[in-house]
Amino acid sequence: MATQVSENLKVKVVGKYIFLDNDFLNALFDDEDLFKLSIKLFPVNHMMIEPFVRIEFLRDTFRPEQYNLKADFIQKKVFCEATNHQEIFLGLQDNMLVLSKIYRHQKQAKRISDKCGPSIVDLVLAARLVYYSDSSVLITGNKKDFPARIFDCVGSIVCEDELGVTKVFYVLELNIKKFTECHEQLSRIEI
Amino acid sequence: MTSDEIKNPKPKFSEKRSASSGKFSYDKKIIDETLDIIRKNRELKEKSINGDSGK
Repeated sequence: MATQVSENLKVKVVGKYIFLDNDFLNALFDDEDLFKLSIKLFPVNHMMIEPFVRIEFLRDTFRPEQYNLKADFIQKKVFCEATNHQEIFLGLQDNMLVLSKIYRHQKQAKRISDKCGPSIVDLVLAARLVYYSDSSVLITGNKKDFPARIFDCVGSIVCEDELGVTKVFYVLELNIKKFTECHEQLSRIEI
Repeated sequence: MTSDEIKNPKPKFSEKRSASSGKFSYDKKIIDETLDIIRKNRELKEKSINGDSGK
């Protein structure tokens, strides 16, 4: 697989936790070149597995051989499971609710009639970015569920397979100023 | 949670800043083992495709 990495991405993510969306995790599982690239790009960072992403990665796989390979892969110590005790989970729940309200409010303000919001897993990942606001990024192939009104794209990884099919993965982080503005706008309409 | 907290959740930010719950390692042996899993996955997929091609 041919890959292209945006300029200075390695520098931009230094010292940050890197949360992996399920699509990128699957891409790593499918392609050793992309995995080797990731190890080079993020040598001192933690590639973090959100527990809900772990479930999404493993779900629906019923053949034991395939399931066991996936389970072995995700338990390798190149990945780290994100902390998930009650205090954090309660904080994430609050962030998920706040984010879902902001998303809906922003869509309504722009008269966007999209009735479907992001999935629960995408909300959890967004909530993590809020929770670890100055020390985390997310790699995802689907940035539409992480709106630019709140999140900044700090880089990208472009992959092209043998058939010439191109897939882009975006590296996103919370913009605390944008998030605060959106939250304040929301607070003004709440009783 | 209080009634107010349920009705009006506020964003929460980590004070401790530690997102990691376990050990993390880029030890060569672990990387090689992980690459081995990826190769096995590829072989399994190819076997699955070739196995279905005659049906």
